[in-house]
This record gives sequence, C-alpha cells and structure tokens, in this order.
Amino acid sequence: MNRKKQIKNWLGCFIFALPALFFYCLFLVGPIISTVKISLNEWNGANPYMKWVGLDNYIRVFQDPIFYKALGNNIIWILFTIFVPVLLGLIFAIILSNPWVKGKFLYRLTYFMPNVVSLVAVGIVWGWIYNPEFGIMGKMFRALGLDSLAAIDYLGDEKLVIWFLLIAGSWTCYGFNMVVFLAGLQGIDSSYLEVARLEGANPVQKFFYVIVPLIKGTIVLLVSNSLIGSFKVFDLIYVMTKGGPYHSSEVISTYMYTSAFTMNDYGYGSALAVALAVIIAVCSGIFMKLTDKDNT
Amino acid sequence: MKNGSLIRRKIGHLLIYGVLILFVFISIMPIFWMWMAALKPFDPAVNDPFALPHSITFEYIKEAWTTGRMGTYMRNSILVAVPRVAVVLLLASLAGYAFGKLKWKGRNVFFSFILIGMMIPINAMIIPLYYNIQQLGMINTLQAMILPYFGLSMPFACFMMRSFFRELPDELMESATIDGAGKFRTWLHVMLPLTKPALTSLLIFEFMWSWNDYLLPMLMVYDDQYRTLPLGLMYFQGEYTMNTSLIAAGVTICTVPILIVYSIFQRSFVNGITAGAVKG
Repeated sequence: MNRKKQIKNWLGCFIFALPALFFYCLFLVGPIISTVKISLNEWNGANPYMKWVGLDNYIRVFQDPIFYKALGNNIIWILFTIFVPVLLGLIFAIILSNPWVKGKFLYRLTYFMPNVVSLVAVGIVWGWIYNPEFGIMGKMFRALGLDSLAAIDYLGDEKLVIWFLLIAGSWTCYGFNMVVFLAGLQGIDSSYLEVARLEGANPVQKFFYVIVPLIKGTIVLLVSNSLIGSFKVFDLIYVMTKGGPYHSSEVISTYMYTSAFTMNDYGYGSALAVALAVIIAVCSGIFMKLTDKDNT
Repeated sequence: MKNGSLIRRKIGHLLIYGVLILFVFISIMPIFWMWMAALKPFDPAVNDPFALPHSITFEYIKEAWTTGRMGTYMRNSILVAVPRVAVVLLLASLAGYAFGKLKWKGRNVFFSFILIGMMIPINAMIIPLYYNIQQLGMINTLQAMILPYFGLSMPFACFMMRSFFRELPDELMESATIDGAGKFRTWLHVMLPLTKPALTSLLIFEFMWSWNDYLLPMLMVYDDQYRTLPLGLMYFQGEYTMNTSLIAAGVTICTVPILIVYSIFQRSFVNGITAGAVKG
C-alpha cells in the first residue's frame, strides 16, 4: 500500500519533467545516435540503402589534410577568443567597476549590442568593411599611409582570412564577456580592494593578486564558454567565406556541412560531426579537470 | 607633489574615457553605417556605402519590403518565434519545477542527462534531423523550424529555470501543500508567478535565438515563401549583389526589431546572462 503511494508520488513528480525529456530525446538524443550510425556507413542521402563500411569514414577523417586545417583553425579561434574578447571583457569590466566612471549604462548598452544582431547581418556588415572596392578598412589604412596593408584582399588571402574573420567574431562577443565579468566583480567584497589599496598595491598587482583570484570562477566559466563556442562556430564563417578560399578558413563545422550537404557524402559528414562532438567533450573534460585541481 | 599626482590621475581618467568612447563607436558604427546606407540615395558614381548622406529616402526600405519580400520574411520570423518561444517556456518551467523544487528519486540523474546536451554542437544532429523532418513531410514548412527546438533548446532552458526554482524558499511548497493544493496547482498559482523574472529572461533569449537562427532553417526551407529573415537576407545578398542600398535596407529591416527589443529589455538580458552564468 505504502509502496504504491510512493510510486504514485514519484510519477506525480516525474510527469512534470516528462514533456521536456520526451522532446529532448526525440530531437537531440535520437539524432545523435543516428549520426553515429550514419557515420559507420557510406551514404549519398538519396539511396534508401546505406552501405556499411565500419570505421572507414573515421580513418578517412584522420588522413584528411583539410580536417587538420579545419581543426587548426578551430584551435586558433579558441586561443584568439580567449586572449582577445575574454581579456578585453575583463579589462572593461574592471574599468567600469571603478566608482568614478560615469555613463556605465551607456557602455554596457552599446558594448553588448553586437551580440544580439543576426550573424548573417554581421557577416554582411563586415564583408563590406573588408570589401576591396569600397571597404572602410582599406580606406583607413590608406589614410594612415599604410598602402601595403590597404592593398590586401582581406577575405581573399589564404593566410590572413581566418584572422580577419576572428576580428569580426570578437566584435560580436567581447560585450558578452564584459557583462558576465561585471556580475562576477559585483560579488567581490570591496574590503579586499580596500586592504590592497592601503597596502599600497599598484593597479597591476591589484589585478593579478586580488581581482583575478577572487573571480576565478567567472574566468573559468568564460574560458570554457569560449572553448566550446569556438568549436561550435559556424554561421559567421559560412556567411562570410563558406570556409574558403580553398578551405583556408574552414572550421570543422563548416567542413562537416559542406561534406554532407554539398558533396552528398553523408557518412563522412557524420563522422566529422561525431569527431567534433568528441573533441569538445574531451577538451571541456580536460579543462574542467585542470581547473578543479587548481581550486582545491 | 600632491598637485602633480592629481593632474596625472586626471589625465589617466581622460585616457580611459577616450578608450571607452572609442569602443562605443566600434560597437555601434558598423550597424549604424548599414542603416545610413539604407536611408541615403544611391550614387553609382561614388558607390561608397560608408559616405555620409546628403538627404534621406525610404525608397530602398520600401523596395526591400515589397519587391525584396522582406515583409514576408519578417512575417515568417514572427510566426516561427512565437510558438517556439511559448512552448519552450512552458516545457522548461514545468521541468525546472520538477528538477529544482520537487523531491523525487533520480531527478539529478535526469537533469545531468539533459545538461549533456549543452555541450553538443547542433552540427552533430542536423543530418538525421533533416531526414526525420523529410520523412514527416515537413520540409518547406514553418513547423520544420519550430519543432526541433522543443528538444534542442531544453538543455539551456531547463538549466536556467532549475537554478531559479531552486532559489525559491521550500516553505512556499509546504504551505501550499498544507492548504491542500496539489503539485500542479502549486506550480500554476504559487510558483509560476514568482518565476516571472526568469521567464522574462528566457523569453528574450529564446526570441533572440529564434530571430537570428540560420543553420537549421537553411536546411529545412528552400522555398522562398517560408524563408525567415536571416535566410531571406542571405538570399537577398546573392540576388542583389551590386545594389548596396537594397542590401543595406534588408540588413536594417532584420536588425532594427531585435535591437529595439534589446534596448527595451536590456535589464532582463543582463539579468538572464548573469543568472545563467554566475549562479550555475
């Protein structure tokens, strides 16, 4: 009798989570399992039968120079977004948390603005800024007398394209990092800073020995956010260069998309997708492990 | 001596203000240029979308809206966003209640199971999703851009609602139970009104993601009639490559609504980010 009541009570609780779990399994877990399945086959998408090839697609992934190029670009993307937008966000957050700074509302409002705009619009805007005919970037360099920099085709140069994409990408997210850091800084007990001031610490010392240790949690959060976000990056690159020229700005997600939906090589595309998911899981696992050890 | 250091500090402050204001311009100018390019008469002799306007015209906005079908795209964007946001909010507030407030065996296991989804990129699901939607005969429909998000949005939405429900005092549950309210009535009448701040933040995020969504709609829809704004904009850019004024008008139509929403709900945006980020 009591047991029956317990089960009834459990079901009464579980039923609230059930709809969410149902759709989660249907549209997220199910497709992931299918992706793994497709990755073990050769399939052009149209044929009703897939051809089982075992791990062949994965072997192809690891022998594919374009995959390594894409992975390299993803790693560049991670390092750059950690060192530029995250650091920039932290610096601005520290500046804005000074009591003498006026107009905080304005800075917060405008710095975050690029983050809410569609990446397609961002891609078009930055495509114009970099445009070799009328782009403002070329004009700016020409006005400064740097003609050699003005002559570059920013999105057409195989070596440089990823860096110019990164500038556009950083533009969209430094405000986000700043807003999160601001919240983290608000949680700091001001007496720590007061003590540092009385002890005669200069701003640099204050930054490294007082502020950074106190907001370590926020830093870890934003770095891991950049880590995962950099592996997920797709829209901006696809809109601006589609991974070109000659795969020079390819990242794994764009390469996966082109392999599957342009080349109709769904098995290979799925293998790339699985590789991407595994890389993210491993990287964030390692990162969490490292930061956990540091904290204790 | 004292005076000198004061002056030095004042100069330092001025420099910092200079940098802060420079970044205000960096943040808003790119979009602002686009709006300007959309509003000024096109001069083929100059062909410089960054030049300052001499006069203002709404001709390009009108043309983009009607001939360029931006009006249709905007209607589709709204028709996709409203049901998507409404259902995600409902599902997440129910689940957040179950994971954050109700006490039952296995709730943490189920919650961790949902959280895993936060790490997985959407690219890892799109191939089978495309074929599932195709089998359902829903390619080139608005539903194709709505339904998958009932699942795909759950990790973040549940995470956020759960952390908010957890903050609510347990006494509320107890007193409601003593008053004889069942779990559902407690959720509806006691809990839901209190989660309004979290729901507002989630609403704005979901709306923004829906409004700006690109990858999934690009796969699911290729009929012009069902394109949403980002898709339409992309197509538009290919169609009118040379007509910078018209493209700028398209960008303007796409960006103005979301920036208005952002400016009005700025607080909720920031609160949502910090609640989601810091409390977690």
